[in-house]
Amino acid sequence: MKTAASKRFRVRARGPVACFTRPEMKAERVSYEVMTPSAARGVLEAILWKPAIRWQVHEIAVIAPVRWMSFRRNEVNSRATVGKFDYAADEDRAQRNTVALRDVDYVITASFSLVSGKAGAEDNLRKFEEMFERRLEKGQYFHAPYLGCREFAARVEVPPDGLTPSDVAVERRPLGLMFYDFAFGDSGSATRPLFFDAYLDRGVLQVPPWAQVLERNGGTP
Amino acid sequence: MMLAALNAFAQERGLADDPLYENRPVDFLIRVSAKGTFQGLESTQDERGNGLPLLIPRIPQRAVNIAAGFLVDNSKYVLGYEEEPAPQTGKAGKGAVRFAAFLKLVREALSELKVPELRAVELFLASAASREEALAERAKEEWTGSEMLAFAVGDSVEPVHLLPEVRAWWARRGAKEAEQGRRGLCLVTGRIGVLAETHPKLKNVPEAQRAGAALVSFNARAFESQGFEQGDNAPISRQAALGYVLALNDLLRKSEERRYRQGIQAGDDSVLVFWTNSTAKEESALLSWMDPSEADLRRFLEAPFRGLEPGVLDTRSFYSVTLAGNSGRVAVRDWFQTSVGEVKQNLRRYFADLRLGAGPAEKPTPVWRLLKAVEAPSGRGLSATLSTRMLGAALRGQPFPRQLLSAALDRLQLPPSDDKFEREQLRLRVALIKATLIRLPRSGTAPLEVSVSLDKTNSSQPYVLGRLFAVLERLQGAALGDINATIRDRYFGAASRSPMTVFPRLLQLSVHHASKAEAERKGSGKRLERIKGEVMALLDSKVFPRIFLLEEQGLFAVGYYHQREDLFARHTPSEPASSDDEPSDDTE
Repeated sequence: MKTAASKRFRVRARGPVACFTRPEMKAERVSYEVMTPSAARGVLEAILWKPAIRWQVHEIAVIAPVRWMSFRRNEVNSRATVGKFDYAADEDRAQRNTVALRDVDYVITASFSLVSGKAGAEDNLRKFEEMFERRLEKGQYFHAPYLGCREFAARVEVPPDGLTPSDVAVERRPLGLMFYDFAFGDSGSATRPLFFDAYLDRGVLQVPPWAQVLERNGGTP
Repeated sequence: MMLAALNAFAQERGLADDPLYENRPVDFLIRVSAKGTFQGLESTQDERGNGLPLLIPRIPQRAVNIAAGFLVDNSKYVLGYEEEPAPQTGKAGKGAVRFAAFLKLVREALSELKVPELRAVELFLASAASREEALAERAKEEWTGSEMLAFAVGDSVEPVHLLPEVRAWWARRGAKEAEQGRRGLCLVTGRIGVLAETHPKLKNVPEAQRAGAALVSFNARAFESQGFEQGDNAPISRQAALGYVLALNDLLRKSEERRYRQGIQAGDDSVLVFWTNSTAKEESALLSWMDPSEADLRRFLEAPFRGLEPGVLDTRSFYSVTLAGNSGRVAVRDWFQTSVGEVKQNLRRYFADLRLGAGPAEKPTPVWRLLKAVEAPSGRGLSATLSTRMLGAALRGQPFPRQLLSAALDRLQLPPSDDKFEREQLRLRVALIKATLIRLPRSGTAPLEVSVSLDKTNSSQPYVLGRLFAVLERLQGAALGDINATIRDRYFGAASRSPMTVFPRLLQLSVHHASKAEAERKGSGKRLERIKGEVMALLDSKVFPRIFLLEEQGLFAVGYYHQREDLFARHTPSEPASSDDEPSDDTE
């Protein structure tokens, strides 16, 4: 199924702290070196998301050099349950370590396409393109955009000209297998994580298209 | 990346060659006859009480669960030994359950194999009397429950679990078991494989549970997401999970002379381990640089300190991870990857930055000794994150944490707790200050020039005032001899923080000290007065600075140390021979 895609948008997202948690180091969080495609999608969806559109991230340029920091926090052991909001971190707690990134700065390049079945007759690409542009320009969002974890807020804006990635000199730096996104599946099928072979090409993370990643993960189950 | 690198390391060094077998010390062989009667308990321990390392079927992962090894296990499983026989009636004791699990596996093998030796073992195990007999072989107090036992039948030297047919069966069973389980893409190897539900445990991580703790674990509901349970949260194949754990356990293992075979303790609760895809020899050379053992230090003292061999940049990979225990879990505090050459260069720079004083080469200063020198006298240690950051900075060649500067300066102001170590401690502290200053992030401001030994041309005010303070202290010492509280004990902190409040007073005092010193020991007063004049000439004006910032205080301390060492060096050799004849000997 080939659907028409919107034009490519460029969005700059930066902030003092970020943690794109590796799934294998999730209890004691360790971040990926670079923003993951799924985190980038989250930033875009904070600005504009409708059931009718699906974002596809193409590139993530790493503008600031990778810097690390680590800290410990008291967090809760159990999940929040609907209707119960009075859990406290001093009763049911786990002290967890986080190895996070600091002073991050990314330029995300992405486009979206319409989801067949969800998009109505009145929906078209141009409409959403303009909505997104307007919203980004004005700084509007549905929820605060964040860098991997809710508490690490991002500043989101149209990137100025002349931003260059931090290691333009390095031709191809492998980052290993990186989390791509969840395949939420159609109704009934189980959610599963997808991974892709990530590398930085002159400071830019090239994000493969969805279909290619699905193939890499053993196809549709 | 980290797990992938560890897994690759395990493959390369052959640590994960055989997922079904492992090498473990076995303490006793139980010898049974072909008919299954007990014949004796043969100790395989050497004189130090260590068992004979033997290839045995891998012992399964155990926590509170019961899982038996195949034909080899500890006495709790093999003989159903229990420290305290279960008093509760009606319930089978844990020993009985363990033993049943062990026997079940033997019977499972026997149902498919016609091996007489296996039959004999089964007969022995089936008889409670024979087991009692085996237990009676040793005194009750001698059994601990942790001794590993294997079987041998008749006169055979070959233990039963190593018989070819038995091994073949174990391999078949292992292969069958490996097939069971969910398959998926492994995020470590990138290949489709059978995914691990839970991961094996790491041993020897400080502050973690004795029985071991897991690096990849999801032991509370909050750690899981998207409805996944356990290993499904992070799909990793069983083979990769075993690989990275074996690699880390190998690095964390105790060696004869070191606490960790290839790890350096950082703070109370963390350990830095590193590995390379270079050779083991190279690794141990690097290790002896980063964290010299006693033997290494002796070697360094015998052979002059030369530095790591310079030249070709080694591009092979160097990996390091700092692990910290958090009871049942292991946390990663820090992780990085670079090249071996880079690390060598950084280490060389680390030692060069620490060099202080013109004296002969001193023994290398491992990071933990530096940190020891600046920790609070109560010995509570510095925060673990600080030592982790410091170690990381040394290996990466990055600026040292600024926190260390203030810690070191604080320590300098305290009177020494023990005179014996005073000079050494002072050296370490000032060396740390110096290295921190040199490595300050250069952001536009003029870089701080800090030399190895006394720099008479340095006219930076904090440095000059530091020198002046050393001269004043010396003057006091020459005049009054040993006194309880010297001006250093009283005024060092104040002088380095706000010179204006202290120096005028000290200078006044020094005039008296000079005349007294001159009266008591001819020449010394004059000589010191002259040096004082030299130093004073470098001062910008007669007004002392009001306040010094942290970095300037550091420079003050370095100036103080340089001048102090210089006075010592000049004085000590010439004192006995020529106390009065040559007050103007200063040939450089």
